[in-house]
Amino acid sequence: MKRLNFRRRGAASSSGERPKLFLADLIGEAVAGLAERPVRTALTSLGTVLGIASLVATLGISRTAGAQIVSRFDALAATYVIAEPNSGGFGSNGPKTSTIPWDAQTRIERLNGVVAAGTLSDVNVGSALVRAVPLRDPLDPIEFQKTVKSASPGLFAAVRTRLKTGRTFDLVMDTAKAPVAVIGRLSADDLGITRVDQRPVLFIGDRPFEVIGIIEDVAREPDLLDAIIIPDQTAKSLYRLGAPGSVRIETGIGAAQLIARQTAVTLDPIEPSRIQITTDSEPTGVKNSVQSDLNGLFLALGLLILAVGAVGIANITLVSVIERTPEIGLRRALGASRIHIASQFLTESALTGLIGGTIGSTLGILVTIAVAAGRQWTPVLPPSLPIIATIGGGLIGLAAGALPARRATHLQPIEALR
Amino acid sequence: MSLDVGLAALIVDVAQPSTQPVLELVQVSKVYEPKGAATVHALRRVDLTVDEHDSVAIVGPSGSGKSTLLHIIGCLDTPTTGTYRLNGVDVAALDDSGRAALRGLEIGFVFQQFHLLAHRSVLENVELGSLYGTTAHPPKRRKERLDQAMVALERVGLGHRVNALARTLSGGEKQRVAIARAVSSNPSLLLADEPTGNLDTANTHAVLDVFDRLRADGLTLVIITHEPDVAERMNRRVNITDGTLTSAVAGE
Repeated sequence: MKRLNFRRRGAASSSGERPKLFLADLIGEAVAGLAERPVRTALTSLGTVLGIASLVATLGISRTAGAQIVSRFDALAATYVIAEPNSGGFGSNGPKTSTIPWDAQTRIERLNGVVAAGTLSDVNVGSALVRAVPLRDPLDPIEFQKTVKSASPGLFAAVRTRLKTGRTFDLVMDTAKAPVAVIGRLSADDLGITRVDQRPVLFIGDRPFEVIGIIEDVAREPDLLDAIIIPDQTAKSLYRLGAPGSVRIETGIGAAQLIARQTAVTLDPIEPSRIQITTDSEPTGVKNSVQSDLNGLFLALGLLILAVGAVGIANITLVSVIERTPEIGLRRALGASRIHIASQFLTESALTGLIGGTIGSTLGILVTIAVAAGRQWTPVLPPSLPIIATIGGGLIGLAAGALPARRATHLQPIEALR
Repeated sequence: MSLDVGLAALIVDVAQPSTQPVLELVQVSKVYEPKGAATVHALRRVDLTVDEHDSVAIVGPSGSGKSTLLHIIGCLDTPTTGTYRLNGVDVAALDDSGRAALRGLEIGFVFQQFHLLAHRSVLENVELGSLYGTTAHPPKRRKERLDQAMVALERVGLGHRVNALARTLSGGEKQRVAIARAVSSNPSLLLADEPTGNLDTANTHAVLDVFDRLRADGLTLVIITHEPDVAERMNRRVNITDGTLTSAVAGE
């Protein structure tokens, strides 16, 4: 049998020595301490699991929902461009520094990525009222103050109109300066016009216009529902319209920014900056609003659960310190310093939090994916969120272990061993 | 696992011939002054010297101060007055951290309650004995610790039970594991507090046999006991009554 050879160290143990423990051994001891009581460790980390899972799921679902809303808005907003002449420094009512050319529709339609384009202008008809002429009683006309607009034929597609009945005017009618009008559903209701097959006529002042179509709905420019729309060339001829007021462009998905840059040059090659281009940025606000509403509610809930989880870790760790008092005494007798004892309990509580954070983070992601799959949405999560959440769980465990660790360091070896 | 490597690790610091005792207590007193209670003189002017390879039994009735004496010798407590030197180091001059370092380096403890970690294996429990090092004597790496633990377990006759969980052992086996843990770090002094107090006669003899083997290896041993059979196995016996060393009797 091997013999043990005990030799004195003598002066080798000087008074300046301090206890030492390798970090790997500290972590190993903490892991072993947790592994010795697997059920307790699992239950202790449950609070962190629920808290972190709530936070991750909350952020994930709100981000996913926000992205879904934005994607729906983007289908409209990201494909719509408006071009108008810049005002000359006096706001929208100031003098225009440029004009939209009459052939704007043709020019814009040549651009690759444009789905439809058309001009839209306000027509000044003075104080003229709009009246229909009911066939049954021509002696009793009904008159209204109505907005009169002029458009190029492409406008109706560019703003996505859906007709209730009839048709819109075409290039031939426009070129021929035909006295025709397309009216919005609300105007039609006011004027009592419900069908166009009998070629109803409306009067703007004393000028007659044949109503050739009624707009049922319009995805963009909802004002058109209450307006009278006549061809550009008709407005130019009858009401001295100087130039189109604006161009409305429908682009392919993803082409809006490119078309926006090209439109100004196309409409005013000499001084593109005189053309003001607008693309709708509203969805960002909507997205933030939606996320803010969801986040506020569920983040509060998640933080509450997390706080309960932290208290749970602190409580169980404290119980563990009391229960393991003899072990603390033993370790102190074996040469552990107070810091080593505190470090071990802090590491154990931090690992408990880390385990909770990891499982909770995974659960949160799965919940997000499940909700998104159920709604047929695309799940959206910031890539850093699971990492931050896991580390957060560890930090919560660390904080929760502070009080028990402090208590453990105050135990005297003799008391602990007794 | 190589036992030769483990043995080599245990043969350390072959020092010069000793010129001073392993431990030396000079006029050591310990007084407790609990709030609202009478002052307790646990130790009164105790003088005790233990040389290298010596074995001393401290014998006394309950409340005589023998545990207090063991705590002071084990650097778990400090004397109120007097001087205590362990291998030439003045223990009273050390702070809490310095005493912890000295304990880890120089002293092995064996307790009546064993203090094993019930859910860990025998080998892991023994390895714990050399987990903590000091700044001048850094802890050994795990493989080396396990090798040392294996050698110590072989020495106490438990080489065949290294993988058993501590909670499955008999009382005698637990105490032998505790002894292996205490000696695995190659201490210069082994302190045993009623090591056979919880054991039956057969296990008591088994544990005492282990102590005999360790003494043969050169271990310096101080043991607290109230059992005459145990005290007689030591080189010297010291009686303590009311905090005072009353006699020193030669052992067998």
